[in-house]
Amino acid sequence: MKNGILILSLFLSTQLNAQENSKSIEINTKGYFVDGIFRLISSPTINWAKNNREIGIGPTFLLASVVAASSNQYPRLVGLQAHYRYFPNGNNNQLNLFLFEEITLQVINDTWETNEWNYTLSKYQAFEYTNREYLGLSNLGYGIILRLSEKISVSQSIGIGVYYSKSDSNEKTPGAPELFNEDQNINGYKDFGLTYGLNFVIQFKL
Amino acid sequence: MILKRNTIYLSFLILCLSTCKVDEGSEIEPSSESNYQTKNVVIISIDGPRYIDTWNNTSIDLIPNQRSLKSEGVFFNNFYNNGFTYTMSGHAAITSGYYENIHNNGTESPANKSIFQQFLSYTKLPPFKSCIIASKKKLDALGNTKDLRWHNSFLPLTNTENREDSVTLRVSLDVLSEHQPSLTMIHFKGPDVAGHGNRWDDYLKAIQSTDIYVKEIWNYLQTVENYRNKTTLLITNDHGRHLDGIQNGFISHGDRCEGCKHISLLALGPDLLKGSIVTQHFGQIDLAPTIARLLNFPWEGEGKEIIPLTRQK
Repeated sequence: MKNGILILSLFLSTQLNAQENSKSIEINTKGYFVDGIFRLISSPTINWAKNNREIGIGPTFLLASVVAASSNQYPRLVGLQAHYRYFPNGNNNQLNLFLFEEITLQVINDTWETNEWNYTLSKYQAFEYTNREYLGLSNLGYGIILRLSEKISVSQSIGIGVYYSKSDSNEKTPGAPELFNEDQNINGYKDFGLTYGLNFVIQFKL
Repeated sequence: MILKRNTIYLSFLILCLSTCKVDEGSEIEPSSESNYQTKNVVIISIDGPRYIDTWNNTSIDLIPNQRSLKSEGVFFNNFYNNGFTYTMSGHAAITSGYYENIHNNGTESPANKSIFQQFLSYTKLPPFKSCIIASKKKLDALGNTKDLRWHNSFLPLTNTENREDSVTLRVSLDVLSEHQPSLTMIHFKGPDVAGHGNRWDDYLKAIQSTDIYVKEIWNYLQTVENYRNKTTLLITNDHGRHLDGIQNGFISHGDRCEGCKHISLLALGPDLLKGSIVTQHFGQIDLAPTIARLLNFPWEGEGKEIIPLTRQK
């Protein structure tokens, strides 16, 4: 906590640098925890920077998730991501610090499987269900961007925020037992809660 | 410039630390032939008595039956609920091997699979070979999980109703007799219900009653061929209650005070060291890997196997 306050004070006490307008594209890969459950997504985004501020927007691809049953379907297009970055020390040095706000909206179609005992066959029988999840995340955080060359830079950042999630499951396998109401909104976690994660970015200046 | 460099170093340090994870817990791999005589495990969970009113009661012996059984098994006097001291969370720690805060009204299953599901998945035995029998209906949520990889899969037989413990005892003996499950959890609610009702005498009577029920179950296990000398019985609690002088004393529970956290574990069975007392600290999440080891099924989780519990054959 003390370290956080120290860093924030240093950000704010540093003089800002004026910069030019610029445009860049980046590959943003992030792993984050939603209520303790890990997800890995990647977003190619296009960014516009002016002075010491930057905004970006792009699609998101889900690379992996520990929740989903059908991991062979990855990577998949799942939604949109938008971010805003603020560089208190400017964005022209070799190493720059930034604060960010990031919003990610995702619709994740998935399948999951149950194994239920069939008393007639005396064995477990698998049934598939579909699941459509609507997930929104809003993260605040800070990070470091390292300029490798005039055109290429990499960054790492950490963020913390809130999420909202809602899902809808239905039977896929013919004859699958009907889901109860409480099983239709099954996320593996609560509908609303805290999220945190790490971002790794490689950025190309246009 | 120096200030800026220090900031950068500090930031890198924090970022690096944020990626670190201390890996603890255990991974149980089943062996081709079990090293233990145990073929069945029965967990008896007595809901919410304080350690000072049971094993540490110096004024009156409310659990004479368990005390007499102590010489036949292993007693843990440093056994704790190190997580959330509510009924559902306490039981979830026992059955899933993770401490987590879940709704206490039974509408939320644990985030991780239960030992019942893992056992059935590995053995492919029918659901009734793994049972949850409880005096509170909400405990049926413990058989399932929110994890979609395991949700609604390999569910155990659950017989949970809001009923008297005496009824749960009869149901338990019926289920043990009819289905002969290999992994069973039996829950008695008496001390917790009387405690919440601020009925001190009933609270003490409920502790005495559950002590008799424990003895009845143990005696039954010794009379049936399928269970005799093949069954490990674990008698424990989901949580304790506030000590006198803490909030409203024995009436409530739910925080991290000593009274709520300190519970007991008495273990009886063919593979156990007889008459020994373990003073080493263990917690509820250590039961799941220990049960997996005894019943020889795979397990991975936060808890650690309770090595001092057993001797191999």
